[in-house]
Amino acid sequence: MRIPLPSFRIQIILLVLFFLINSVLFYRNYFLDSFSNYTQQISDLHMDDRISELYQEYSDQLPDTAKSEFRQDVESVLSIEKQSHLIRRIFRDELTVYSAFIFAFLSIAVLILFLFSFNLVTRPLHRLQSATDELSKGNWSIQVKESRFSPLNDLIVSFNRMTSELDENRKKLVQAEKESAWREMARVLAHEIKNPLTPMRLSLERLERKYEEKSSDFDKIFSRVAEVLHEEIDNLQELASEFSQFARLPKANLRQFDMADQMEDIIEPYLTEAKISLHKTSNALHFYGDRMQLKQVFVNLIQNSIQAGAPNVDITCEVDKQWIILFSDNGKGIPDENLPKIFEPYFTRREKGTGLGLAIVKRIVENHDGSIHVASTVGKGTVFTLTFPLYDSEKA
Amino acid sequence: MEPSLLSGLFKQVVTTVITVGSMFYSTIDGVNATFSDVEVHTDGKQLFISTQLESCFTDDFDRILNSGKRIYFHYKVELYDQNKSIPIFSEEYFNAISFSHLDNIYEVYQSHEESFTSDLTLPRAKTLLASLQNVSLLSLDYLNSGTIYTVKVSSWLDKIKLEGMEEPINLMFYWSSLRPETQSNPFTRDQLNQ
Repeated sequence: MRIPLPSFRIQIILLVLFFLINSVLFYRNYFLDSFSNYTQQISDLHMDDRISELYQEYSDQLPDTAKSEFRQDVESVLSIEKQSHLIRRIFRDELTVYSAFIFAFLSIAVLILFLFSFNLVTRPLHRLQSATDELSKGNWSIQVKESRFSPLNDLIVSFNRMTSELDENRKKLVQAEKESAWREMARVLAHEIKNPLTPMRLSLERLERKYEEKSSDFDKIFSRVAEVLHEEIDNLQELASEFSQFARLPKANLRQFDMADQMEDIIEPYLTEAKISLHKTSNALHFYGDRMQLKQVFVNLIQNSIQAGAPNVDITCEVDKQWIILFSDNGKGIPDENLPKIFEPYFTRREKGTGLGLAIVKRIVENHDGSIHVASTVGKGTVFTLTFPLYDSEKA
Repeated sequence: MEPSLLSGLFKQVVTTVITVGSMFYSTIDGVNATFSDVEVHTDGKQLFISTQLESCFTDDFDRILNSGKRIYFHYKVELYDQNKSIPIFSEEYFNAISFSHLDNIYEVYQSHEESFTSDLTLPRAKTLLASLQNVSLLSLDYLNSGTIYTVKVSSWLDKIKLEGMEEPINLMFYWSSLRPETQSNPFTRDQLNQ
């Protein structure tokens, strides 16, 4: 079992603590040893013995009257010398104890100062790291708390300015994208509405004209015009429904269903338009999702293949660590330059199309925590790969 | 910051640390000095007591005795009527020791005898310094028959100032800052006369 290493900050603190304690102990021991050597050297001089010898040597040469006074003076000097020995000893004992106090106090003071300075540097770095994490998660309005005493405060100020500018630019970009999307939608809507309006107007004008002419085939024309009007109104209704669906996709109604059954039901109406083959790795393909929304996905993809002129469509369903559903056709394919745009709303290559089909497909797939990718070669065909995660019940 | 200011600050810090440290910890290893049992006796006229301090010396203390500085052992003797809290007799005595470096001998003065004892070796000098022998307290006439008495003895040391040292040394640190005290067994005048 590997023991987890402490964080970088803790490692630095431990290292400093180690060096600090060792330096303090080394300095203290050196200091005490030096002092002991010094006192020992003074003791080795044997000053008291020398003074005593001097007294013995000279006292006999003094007159009796001065002897007593001389003796007192020598005793006094010897006493002072003995006391100085004693003082050195007491001082050494005090030094041993109090130096421990002083060094402990200084070590703690230095450590506190170090931690304070260290914090001044590392705390803003930690905040910056957290802020960049937040930024990567999409929190563009993140601001790092400034620390006036930190040497990294300029960096924090620059970071805050950068995020403010980024946020401002992003907002501008979003606004521009919104405006662009609205313009595009308005253009598509106008185009799509104008398309049925022209035949409707022409049909009505023709009907008016035939009515004024009291034409004998008025009834026939009336019937034809009514048919055209119904058709175009249906087109308009479908258009409105499609836009509405894209704008407000209903909440997914998740439940388990058999994917193979679902596919077979979907494929059946299109079998007259293309040869559609379903390949499945297992007979029991229980999928957990919104059956109706996924039907829309598969229908859209099959229709896309048919509209691309594909005579054959192969659908493969695989279940391993995830769901993989492949739609491959041998249609005309999609040019490389269009591949990045095909899931964008209002992008279409057909004259009659809103460009919302694949956008809706992508949204539904992503709402199921899945993903969709496309690969295509012009003249050979297109492959859509859909992947979905397995739900807990499926894993079990 | 100027160097003088820095060194001043450092000195102040060191002084503070030592002052605070000394409040909680003494560099001197003290002992618990005690008295032997107090012996109360009489010659028929006077009341005497005898006792001895024990475990009152350390190697460091011997060095102080050897410094030549005169050292005093103070004693206080109090006689109590057991029914009263105030002593009926109280007297202070002292034993003092000094050392002659030239002759390498000790001399002890005992105040209760008003006598010097010279030519002493260190062990003998220490024994005399720590002893109160046959200390005459008061005449038996002052004691009432039938009253129970006790004698209390306590001792303490002075602070001494060594040459070249700013602060005096409190010798009581060598006794762990505790005054040794003892008390005799209760006695009556009649018991003493028997």
